[in-house]
Amino acid sequence: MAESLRILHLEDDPADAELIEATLRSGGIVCEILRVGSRHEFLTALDGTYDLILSDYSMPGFDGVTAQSLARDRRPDLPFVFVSGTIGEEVAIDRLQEGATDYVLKQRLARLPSAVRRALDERQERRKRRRAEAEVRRLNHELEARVVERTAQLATANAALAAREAQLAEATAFLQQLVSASPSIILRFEPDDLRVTYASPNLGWLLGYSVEEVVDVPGFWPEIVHPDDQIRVLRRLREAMDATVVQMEQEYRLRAKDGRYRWVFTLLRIEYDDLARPVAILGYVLDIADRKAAEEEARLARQQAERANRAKSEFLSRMSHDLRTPLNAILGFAQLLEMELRAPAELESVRQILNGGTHLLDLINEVLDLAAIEAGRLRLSPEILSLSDTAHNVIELLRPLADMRQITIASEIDPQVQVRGDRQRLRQVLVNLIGNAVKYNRTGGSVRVTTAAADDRGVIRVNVEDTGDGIAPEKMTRLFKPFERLGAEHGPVEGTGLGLAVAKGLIEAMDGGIGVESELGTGTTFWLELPHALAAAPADAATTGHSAAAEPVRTCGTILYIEDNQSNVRLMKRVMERRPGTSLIAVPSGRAGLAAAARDRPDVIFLDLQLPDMHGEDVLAALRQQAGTAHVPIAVLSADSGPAQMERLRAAGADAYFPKPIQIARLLKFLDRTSRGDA
Amino acid sequence: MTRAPRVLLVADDEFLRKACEASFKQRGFDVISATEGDAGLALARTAPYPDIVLLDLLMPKRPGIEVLRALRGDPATAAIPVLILSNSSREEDRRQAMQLGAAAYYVKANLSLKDLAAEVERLVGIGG
Repeated sequence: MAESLRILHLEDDPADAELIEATLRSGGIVCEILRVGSRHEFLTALDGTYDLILSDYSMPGFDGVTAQSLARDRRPDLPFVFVSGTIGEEVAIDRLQEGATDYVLKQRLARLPSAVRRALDERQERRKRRRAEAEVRRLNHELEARVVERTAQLATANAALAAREAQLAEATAFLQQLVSASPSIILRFEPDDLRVTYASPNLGWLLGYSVEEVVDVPGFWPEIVHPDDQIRVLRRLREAMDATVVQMEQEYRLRAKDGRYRWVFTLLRIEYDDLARPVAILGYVLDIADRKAAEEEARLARQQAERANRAKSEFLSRMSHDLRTPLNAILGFAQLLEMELRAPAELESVRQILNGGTHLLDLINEVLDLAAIEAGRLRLSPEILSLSDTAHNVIELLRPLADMRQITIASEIDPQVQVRGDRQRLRQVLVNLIGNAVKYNRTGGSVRVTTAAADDRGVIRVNVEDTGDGIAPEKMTRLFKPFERLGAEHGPVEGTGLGLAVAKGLIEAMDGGIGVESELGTGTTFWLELPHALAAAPADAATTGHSAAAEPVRTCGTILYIEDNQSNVRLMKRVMERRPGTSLIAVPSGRAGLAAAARDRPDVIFLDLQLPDMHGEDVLAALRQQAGTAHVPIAVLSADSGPAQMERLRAAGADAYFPKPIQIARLLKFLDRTSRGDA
Repeated sequence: MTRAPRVLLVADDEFLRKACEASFKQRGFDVISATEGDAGLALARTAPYPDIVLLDLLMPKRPGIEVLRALRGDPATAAIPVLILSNSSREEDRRQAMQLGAAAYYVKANLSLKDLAAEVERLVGIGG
């Protein structure tokens, strides 16, 4: 043994003690021995540091049993070996049972060293075992602590999980609430085959299907789209996915479970992957049956209104025709009377008839124009016009009226200025504006017609300036309203109250504008603006009027008048009396007209448009096709005036057009021209 | 300069953002994106600057129209063209955006992002 053992030896006999020590040493045990011989010494020494206790069994005043008991109480770890000459086998076993490590008989001391070694080994073993046990206990304890800790952690995690679950449940419930309260059905589609992969339960109240009947049923959705909508709806969706459209809106009909179709609006949201391939379609489907019904109602109402409007237009056009026909007789015969009568009183009466009739005619024309403007039916033939030509033409027309009141008309219009507009209608507006400037001027006053250069808006402004009384500011806003005469109805100037309203409508239809500036006591300036046409040589300058270069020279002998209205025929007969040498053949229908034309070879044909058997335009076309009448001058006389119709008739080969009531002087001029061969 | 044109996409609409990114990347654009206005503004003010901004109008926190105002008001970003993507087809919304200097205003419904990418490519000149 490397280290010296410390031994507490209870022995009252010094000789025995020496022998025992010697035995130990000779047995190879290096040790330091503290010998005690009494109870007192033993108790005192017991607290020291030892590896082993050796004890005698019987001593005077003390004994081994008590010593073992004391040692067991105070030093339970120390091996306790009896070394005795008296201990019997029975006692020894008894002691061993009480915890003694071993016993050695003094008579057999040679065993002692090995007994000591074994006792120490055992102690060592015991200690090791105890340490191991302590380690196990410690480990157990640690494990228990860890289990407790882990359990606590789990409990916390469980609580968090429960909270999250509650949140999730709440969110799910909220979502479900949203979905079920949503006015739209929510769907998800597979982009490839449009299979429905999700449908919100409110599907039922719109279409009657249960979710199970729809979800994951191949081809279901495309199949319930109305056959008339299918191609449109499905093709557009395919195109949208090809074009990476994220959001699209469609309206179409879906078949409900009861077989009826319902109008729906769908908003689709298409989701794409990183390569822009569609991966899912989210759809919101909204019932729009009510809206569609309202739309349909509105469409029917609109249709009805349009029908009513057409009826109104038709009525106005019929009225115009029916009013013009008797007016034709009134004005026609009055014009003849005016040419024939000499007595001033009679002449004055006839002029009153003519004035009244002309006024009525103006009124009809303007009412018709206004109706056409309001209905948006105004037909215009825009062309590039020389402003100065048009204005001079109008001024010459109005000059006699101006001269009567000693009013001068001055025009300062650049001859180069061209505008874009309808020739006839621009003329009509200028007649109105310049006519007003003359009519509402003071005697001896003046009218100036000027233009302002095109500004950057690309328009030309025409000013018509008079020296009349001017217009009070409060009346200005009513100027362009129909039937407003602003008090002039009590004055000497005749008017319909429609002229300016019509002028405004006409100019606006030509993309222009109209307005007025006035100063009381000084005068009024009406202006109009029209789109400026870039200066270009007037291509049609040489072709104004109908070319008759190829016409042979003829004398005005026989006139064929195709007309069913007898009062018009009588009027024409009276008119022709003013041209002696002409004979008038009147026929009452288109067919009779064509036959007479072939038979009688007339020199001039007058053609009414409203014939009982054929339309005048067809008669005109037939006449132009017949060899005998292909080049005969034809004048159309009709109450159905209109620029578009005039244009059409000219194109069909009419040489002149006289709207009814006919201006006899113009008609006679035409006859005179044709007889000279320059129709 | 041969770098790919850079598109800044500011949109909180997830579908729109993903589809835009895919469409513009396919066209060879370099795409950066932000899901809200402030982050978008920060990206617009950071080099390398975007060549064009696609801006969603309807966003939480800072509305798109405010982002547009801020972009136009900052000399660093005022020259970057801004295309508006909006749910609204109302004329006054369009007018407001155009008055604030948007280069174009697109309504999302039925808008082809493929066509939009081609249009933007034409605008900025890819590879230019």
